[in-house]
Amino acid sequence: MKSKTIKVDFLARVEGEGGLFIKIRNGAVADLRLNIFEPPRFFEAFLRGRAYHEAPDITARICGICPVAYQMSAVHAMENAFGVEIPEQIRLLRRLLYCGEWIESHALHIYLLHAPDFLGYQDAVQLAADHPDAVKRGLELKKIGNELMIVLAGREIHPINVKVGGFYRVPDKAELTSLVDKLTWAREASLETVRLVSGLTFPDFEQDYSFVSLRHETDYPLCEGRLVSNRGLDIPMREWNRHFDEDHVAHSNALHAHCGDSGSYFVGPMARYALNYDHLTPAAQKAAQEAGLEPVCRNPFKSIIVRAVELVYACEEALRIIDQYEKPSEPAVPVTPKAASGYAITEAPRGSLYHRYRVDSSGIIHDSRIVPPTSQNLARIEEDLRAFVKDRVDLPQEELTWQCEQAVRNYDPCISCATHFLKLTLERE
Amino acid sequence: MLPESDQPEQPRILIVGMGNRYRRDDGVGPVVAGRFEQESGDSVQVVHEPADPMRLIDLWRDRQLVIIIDAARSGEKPGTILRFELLRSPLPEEIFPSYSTHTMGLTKTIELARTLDRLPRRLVVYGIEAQNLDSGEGLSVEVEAAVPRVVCEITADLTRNPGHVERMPSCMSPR
Repeated sequence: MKSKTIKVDFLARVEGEGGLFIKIRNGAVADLRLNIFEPPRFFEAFLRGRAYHEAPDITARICGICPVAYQMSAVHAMENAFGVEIPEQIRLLRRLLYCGEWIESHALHIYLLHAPDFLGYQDAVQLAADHPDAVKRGLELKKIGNELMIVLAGREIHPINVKVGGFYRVPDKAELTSLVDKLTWAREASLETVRLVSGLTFPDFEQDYSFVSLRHETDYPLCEGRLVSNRGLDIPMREWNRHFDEDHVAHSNALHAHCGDSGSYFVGPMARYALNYDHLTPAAQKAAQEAGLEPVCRNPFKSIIVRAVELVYACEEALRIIDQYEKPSEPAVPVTPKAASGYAITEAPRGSLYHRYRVDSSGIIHDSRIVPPTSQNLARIEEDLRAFVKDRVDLPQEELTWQCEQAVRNYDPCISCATHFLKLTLERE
Repeated sequence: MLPESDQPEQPRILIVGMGNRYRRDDGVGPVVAGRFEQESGDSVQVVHEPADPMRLIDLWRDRQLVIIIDAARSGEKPGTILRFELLRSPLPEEIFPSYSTHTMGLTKTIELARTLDRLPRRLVVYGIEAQNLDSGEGLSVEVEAAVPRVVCEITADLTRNPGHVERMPSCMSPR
């Protein structure tokens, strides 16, 4: 019996800590497990007994790379519970803040985490030696995303200016217009990014995915809309629980999510793009077309192009919002707590992030549920790996291991978030 | 073309306290950097606990001297002071491992900056061997005792630096 084991104890360049175990026996995948051993983090329990207004700042601590997503899902869920409507300018500022996070997170992933895989470099330092201008572009894009977050939210990691009902302070128009030149540069740099990544070599691999994301009537989704899929799902956010399950699997401290009978599903840039292509700006659509992307892309390795297209969108949307911005008279609307449950889904850089809270009449949180995007993608990542390895079992061990790690990074997985930690060693049997 | 750096009149010297005050001895960087806080001004800038070390690449650009203080894990006696001149060789990752799950650690950040020719004119890293990195505030006795000695060494670095600042924290003798 011929047996081969690929064991990636730690995965580098993935946010958080996890490992990959694949056993190949007689030319077939006998076992495959994406081990998540970051310990559970118990945030849902921490929230019990805390005041509703603490949720955005507590949950922001779940993730250093997408704290805005946690804040946005938290405030929208509380506003949903209390029946709070926010004014248009506050809505736009929230979209603008989210654009900052998308720019920062996507630039980091494209240039520093994922591109080295495609070009055969161990890390961004090696990549920088041969492609210094590309890496400098990535760093500058990341910095501009960070600056947008600092202007709107005080600081780029764990921002401090978001509150239920709006913001603690809203910027003057001049503060935002001071970013226009940089964002205009960033838009061009994003278009250059699309051109750059579209020239990479992609494995021939497509899957029939169940894509799930928000869809809004008019805009590419960030904080609002209905949750839809390419399998006919079309539900309000509050019905998430009726259509999705989370299961515990022995090899993972992160729960695996499933959508009804259709099993695993895919959230994130690929899903948003497939379900909202018509809401991209013309320039983002044109960039996608020139990159050779169809309106639906089923090759997960091309997620790096989709991320770059979203980078173009985020820069354009940020510029549009700044152009339209008029400083609201009040930074936030009044909020009166009441006994209720609130639900929200917003589109984190890695995909849909669900929050649900049950709050009493004095605004104390009785229970909560937080389902991060990586947790939703874990089952799908394992299925991708099974399908991918199945046709490549004869590849040399080192090459197959490299491609498997690359396949995991297609999802830009944030293991810290999903477990409610990643280093890399390699063992072969 | 990249936009120009927007740091026109920045202090020539940057002191960075790396670490986390809520992980015991990992807080030694911010504690030492804090001793230079009152010198902050025209020539010295002090930065505490940068959450994202990659930000340093922009922060230290064009600076004359950058001093970084961090907890170290070299296997030496707790409180041992290690000093590295970074323009000559990389920082050993085994002594300064990255615990961040979301960004590059200090060692990788320095190498990325070196590769991109974005290191400051002089970069010195002080590592103080940690004893206790558990959750909680306060330094261990050995690491606390090292603080005045590191302050003294950094003061000497600043004094040797051309155009040094005039007021320095009082330099105490090693215990």
